[in-house]
Amino acid sequence: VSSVPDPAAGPVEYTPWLIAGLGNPGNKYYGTRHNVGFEMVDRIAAEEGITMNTIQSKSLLGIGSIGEVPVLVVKPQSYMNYSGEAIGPLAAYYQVPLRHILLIYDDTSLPNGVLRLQKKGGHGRHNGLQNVIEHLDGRREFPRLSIGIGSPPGKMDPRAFLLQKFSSEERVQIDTALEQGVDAVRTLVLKGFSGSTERFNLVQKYKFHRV
Amino acid sequence: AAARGRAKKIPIADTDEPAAGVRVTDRGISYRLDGAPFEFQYSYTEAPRARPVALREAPFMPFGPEATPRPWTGRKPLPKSRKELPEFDSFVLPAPGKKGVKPVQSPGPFLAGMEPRYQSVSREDILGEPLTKEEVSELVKGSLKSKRQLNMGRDGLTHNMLENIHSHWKRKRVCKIKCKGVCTIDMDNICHQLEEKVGGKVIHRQGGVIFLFRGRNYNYRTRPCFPLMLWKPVAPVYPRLVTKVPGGLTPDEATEMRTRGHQLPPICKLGKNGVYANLVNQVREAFEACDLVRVDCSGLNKSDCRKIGAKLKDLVPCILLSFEFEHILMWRGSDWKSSLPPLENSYEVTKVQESFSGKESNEKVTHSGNVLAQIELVSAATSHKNWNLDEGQEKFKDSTDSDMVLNSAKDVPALFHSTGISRTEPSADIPLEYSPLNPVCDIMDPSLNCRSIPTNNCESRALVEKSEHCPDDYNLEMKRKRNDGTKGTVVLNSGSKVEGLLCLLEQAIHSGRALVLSEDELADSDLVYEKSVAFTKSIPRRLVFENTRRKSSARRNVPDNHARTKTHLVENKMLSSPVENKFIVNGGSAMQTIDHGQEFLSDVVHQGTLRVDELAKLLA
Repeated sequence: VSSVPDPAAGPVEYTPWLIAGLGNPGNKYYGTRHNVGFEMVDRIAAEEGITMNTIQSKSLLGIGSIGEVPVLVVKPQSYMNYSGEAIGPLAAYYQVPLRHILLIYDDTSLPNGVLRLQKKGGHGRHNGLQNVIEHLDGRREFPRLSIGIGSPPGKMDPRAFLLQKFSSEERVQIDTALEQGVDAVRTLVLKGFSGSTERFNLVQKYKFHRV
Repeated sequence: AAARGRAKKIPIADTDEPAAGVRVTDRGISYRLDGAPFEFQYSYTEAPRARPVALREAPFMPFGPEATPRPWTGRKPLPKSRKELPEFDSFVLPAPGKKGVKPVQSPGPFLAGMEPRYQSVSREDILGEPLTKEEVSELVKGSLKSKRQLNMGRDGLTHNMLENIHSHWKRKRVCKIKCKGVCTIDMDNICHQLEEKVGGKVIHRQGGVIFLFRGRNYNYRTRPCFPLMLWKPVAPVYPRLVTKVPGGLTPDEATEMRTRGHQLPPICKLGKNGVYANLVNQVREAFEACDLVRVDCSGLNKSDCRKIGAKLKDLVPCILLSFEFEHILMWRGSDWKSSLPPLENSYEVTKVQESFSGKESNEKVTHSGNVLAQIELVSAATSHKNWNLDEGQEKFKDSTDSDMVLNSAKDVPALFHSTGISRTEPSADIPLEYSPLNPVCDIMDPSLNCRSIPTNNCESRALVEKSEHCPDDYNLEMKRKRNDGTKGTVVLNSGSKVEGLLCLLEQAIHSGRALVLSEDELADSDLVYEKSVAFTKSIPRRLVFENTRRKSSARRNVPDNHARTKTHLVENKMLSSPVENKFIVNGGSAMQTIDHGQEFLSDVVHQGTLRVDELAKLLA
């Protein structure tokens, strides 16, 4: 009986996930490139029927579940460069292990509208991520979903580019990407990192290379 | 004058040798000299892997007047120097203080206790014992930054480079070879050809740079000498790379693909004389996602672009569609196969079925009908995880109280035994038949949550209704599965976990660490921000401080937590009989709840237990 091999995927884990989108608070920054993380979190919360109505440790959060896995959805209300001050204490309070903190942020190194799910990684010169890593004792081994926003054109100031709103074509691409991202987060939470994550990254990487 | 624009083509005769010693092979034109160990070619790495169609000039041996069969029309070669030069021997080094002598490295390195072999003939003798790691790093370090290098370009490893490498080896143990441009697409081939044609050993490779070690017992004096090529032979005519209608396509499809390719964004842009070492992998990866791939070669030489295309065609492999607009357009071909493993869903189902068929063959075939029905059932169950899951969830939502669930879990095995005996005829065989189901259930459990095959639901119902005592058995199955250790505990966990989160949240609200906003406040994000700022300021400092203090302690807890759940799962996996499992369920859930209680308590209790120095900090 014991000779039957274990399946490749482990059983579903039911420790909570902390899904945090990075962005700047307030209407002023709503819809800018740097706030893509917020949009993604809003989308996830809407699709999973989670109401985000609580303020705790400088962030707006909601509690719900994806499938049967409990999930914390978080939008830090400290500004981007101090996101860690919100996320660090939250993760500690709700006892979320490092491998279940999913950060969603914008990435200039990916083309616009391309998503990438990673198990771990660096900060990639993202100030929000830098601060989060700082507040997690310099640990970088948490999963992240980066949303490509393209790189600034020509000699444009990168800060100005980040705080700009999307053009109409880019907005369309981002909207489809957000939809795909919700599915990806759902499968990630339910099944963890597996071959399908790699497949997802591959399809995302080449999604504009097909006609 | 009209013929000047394009060189005249000379068709190749049926015989393989258009001239003495010149041979047309599948790797271009090769030259054979008497006594040479291999056939010479102009380039050993860059010759296209195709048989030439025609020649552009009359074939001849490019090794000088002696070897040329035609009458010599060129200049007389320079006379040899009259000075008697001493022959260079690597083992006879110039005296250390001697002036006017370039630095020479001694042969070696030699291992302790090993003598240098002066008269080594075979390659293995020259190479000596394989180098140790330390020796390799030492050798590479010595020439990593050195500018004395052999450059390799679009012609790859040419015949005359063999001599060049020996002249590098004359004074240094390691020859650094830097490749750029077309030849870097296939670095493995270059290394292979180097080791085969020149000898030595590639000890380090990085990008387009190769470090070639000459061997422990290398002697420049006994190196193999080949005549130099004095001219570059004109390349013959090769068959077309891009055919109008590639194989496996109709003309319409081909044109349609080419027009599609016009709008296709290229996957990468190649720089001129760059290192293209991972281009092949990139193209292969892109073929996993899309059938047409375009590579931007603008700025490259036209011939380079063609050569890259030809190499990709061989190495990826793919079908070239066009070189228009300085882009390479490739199609993955009709017989392309994905190298990625298939997605898990189908994989698991097949695995379960396989394991079942294996079990079945072991068992007596007297109850084959029964067993088969069960197999069908289980396979149906695997493919209809959705349904199972929903039912399971409903059942569990009904009985929220964990004690209740546990009670039912206790009951069900008994129920199962009794019904099992009554339903299926021979009592002795039941354990035999059901025991293999256990691991299978284990296997299936993780996959229960994926909702990938919703369309099959109706089929499963139909199947269940078809077979007579299927409904009962199926119910049994369901119950068993719910009894199954992992599933049961896990569901219990999840229930308690969401509650745990909510409990924590409530505590936070009660203790004034969290604030619930109303609907109209949520609509405006400015308002949310203001509220959060105001709330954060209003929190008593004690709580903020405690919160940050807890951070470190919680992180210490995290691994424990993780480990605990893991061992828990392992336990469940190992014990396969349902009764034992159930006990584990009992114990495990109890443990969990106790843990939770402790955690909650710890949250409450910790508030008063600040250390003295922290208190001092607070009061300051």
